[in-house]
Amino acid sequence: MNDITPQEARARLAHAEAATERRTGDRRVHGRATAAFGLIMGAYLTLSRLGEGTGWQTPLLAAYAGLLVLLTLWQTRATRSWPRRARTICYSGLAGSFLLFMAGVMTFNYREHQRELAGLATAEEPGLLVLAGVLVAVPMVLAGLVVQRGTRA
Amino acid sequence: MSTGGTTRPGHARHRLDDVIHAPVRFSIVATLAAVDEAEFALVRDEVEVSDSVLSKQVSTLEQAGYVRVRKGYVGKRPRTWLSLTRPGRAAYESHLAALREIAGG
Repeated sequence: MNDITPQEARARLAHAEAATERRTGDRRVHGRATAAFGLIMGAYLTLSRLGEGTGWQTPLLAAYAGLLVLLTLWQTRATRSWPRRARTICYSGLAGSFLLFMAGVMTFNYREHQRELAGLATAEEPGLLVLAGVLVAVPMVLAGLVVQRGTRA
Repeated sequence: MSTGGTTRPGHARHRLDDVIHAPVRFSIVATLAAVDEAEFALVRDEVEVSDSVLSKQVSTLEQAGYVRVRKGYVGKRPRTWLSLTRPGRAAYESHLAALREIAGG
């Protein structure tokens, strides 16, 4: 039989509660990394379109890939746990940003093709490119904020 | 136990999970309940036990079906990750509910 006094039970409940609160450091890292992934994806979409035909696309792609690798390494090495539901939230944000990224690429390709057919200049409006970059970043930035703030287990 | 033909629920202490009730295992499960997955070293540091003690207690929890052990690498370094299984999480929640009842008097 498990004999336990009310005081002991309260102490164990306090211990259990404290175990949840100790994961704030990992939450912060996962949250910031997720938001940064989104910002990098959004910036890449905008800058790669703005830099079309300028010779900056290859260095930009290398910088994009390099930043993603560095961010992944930092996230992996700076944390020792995935707080409750954090991974699901991060992957949901990634799925949202990725879908918007692909939608952006397809939309801009379509618009470029239409302008070519109409004999117009092929360059996209910078304001629209910035807006698309911001939209791509939003799901992962939101996911990062949710992870950093934490959800009840 | 019955009184006047009606069955009374047993005292909450009877609903405490024997596997989780041991202090070290309770600390391990409490740590894992707050995460989806944690490194072995993190749990060892949180629970303040040696590698061998943690291994032994984790084996007991694994045999009970409460903990899952996953091995992998970070770079070239081998790592072990621990997580609660669904039955493990359910058993812990039930254990906490019994503790709350006892704590409430």
